[in-house]
Amino acid sequence: MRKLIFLFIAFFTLSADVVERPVLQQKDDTQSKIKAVYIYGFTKYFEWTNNKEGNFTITVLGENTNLLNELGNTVKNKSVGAQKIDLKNQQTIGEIDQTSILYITPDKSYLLSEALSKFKGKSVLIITEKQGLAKVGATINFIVEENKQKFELNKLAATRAGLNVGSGIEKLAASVIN
Amino acid sequence: MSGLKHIWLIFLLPIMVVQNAFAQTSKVNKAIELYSAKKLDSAKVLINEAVQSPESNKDYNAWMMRGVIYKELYKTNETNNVTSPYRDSATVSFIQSLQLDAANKNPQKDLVLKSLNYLASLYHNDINKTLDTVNYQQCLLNAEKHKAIKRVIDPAFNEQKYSYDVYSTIGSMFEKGFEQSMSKTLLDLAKTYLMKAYDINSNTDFINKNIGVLYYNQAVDIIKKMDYDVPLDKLPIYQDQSVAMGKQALPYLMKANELNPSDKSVVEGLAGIYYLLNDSEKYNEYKKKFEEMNKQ
Repeated sequence: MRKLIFLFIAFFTLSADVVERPVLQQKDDTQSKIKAVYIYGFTKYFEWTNNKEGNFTITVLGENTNLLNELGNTVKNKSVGAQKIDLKNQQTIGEIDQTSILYITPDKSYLLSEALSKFKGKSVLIITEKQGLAKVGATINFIVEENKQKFELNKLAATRAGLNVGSGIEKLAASVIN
Repeated sequence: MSGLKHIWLIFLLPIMVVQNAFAQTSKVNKAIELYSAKKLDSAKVLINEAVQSPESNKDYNAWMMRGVIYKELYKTNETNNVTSPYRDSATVSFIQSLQLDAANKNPQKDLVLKSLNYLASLYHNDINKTLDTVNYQQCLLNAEKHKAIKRVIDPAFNEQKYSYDVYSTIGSMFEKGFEQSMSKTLLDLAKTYLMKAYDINSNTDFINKNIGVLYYNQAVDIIKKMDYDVPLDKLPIYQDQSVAMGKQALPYLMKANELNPSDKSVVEGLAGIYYLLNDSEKYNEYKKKFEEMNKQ
């Protein structure tokens, strides 16, 4: 969300009045930054058994310009192992050839089952953001608890997807489905 | 104020006649003569001797004359000096003159009051000249001097309101400085002075809005400044701090909204807080309100 700045000086009868209007900054979406940091951070907690050639692609399925911008800032000049990180934005599953991480926006959650069947066993970390989706196959599902961004982890879904789960991530998850 | 000097002369002449018989009051008379001849430094020496003497130190005329001379010295030498000692001496002298005239016998009392009012205005105007993060203490001093005069001359003076205005102005100034520099010192000073104003009057949309925005901006800044490479086990620490700050901002912006529902920026700020707190229902409610207000 935008950061709000009030440059607002109280009215003084005998002095020069200096009343400045709020200045709104357009690029401070705190939640998108937190999600971007999580998404990049996950690369350190999973092992992709397949998908080791070419770039390490992170795909955002659906519209979320702020998240794409923050992901761009997060992965700039970074790599996963020897793979350079590449960022893509698609609107349908059919448009996605190959990806290592697939983040599905809440609006595109209905495409989860299509994604699961297309990428089964292909080492794709599927991340969603809607209640209950970890239980139906997303490896990571963002949730909100105590006003904070947290995530659920489905270890079984990770194994089915062809991902090895690192030891530390369970401790970070709000809940784990084995 | 150039005509005031002549007005004083007209009124001071009778004092000279009445007081002619006494040695110390002759010093007052001499001081008046020197003042009339624009020999202000010499007038100052004599009037100080007079008011220090046992014969004249309880004389409201002598103190009034001291006020007149020091006011003129201020106008001649120190109009650009926000810490002017001459102005302070003039103020002290006029107030002393008023206090010695308990029986209300001074026929020039009205001019004393007008002079004090003039001096109070000067102190007030100088607040603006020192309204910055370096000289703000002088601002406070001049505000105190303004209040001290007003307390004496104006029974209707609302000192609490004046203090509220001064503190909220200084607090806002530090808030602005903090937003530009992100200095913790300025942030602490902004909180200190905004809270001083809040303690005087917590029922203005201005003070609630400013305090709310101060906390909200800090909440945003915690995440904004967070390194993109922050390890995931440290991420909750940043979130905890940001959420705590957002929760502090919320009651202030709610109150500001209650006091002034038509302020769009407060509604936008509330949407921002709820977004930060991951409360999508409330976020959407205030976002919709803000969008509707923008259409009007």
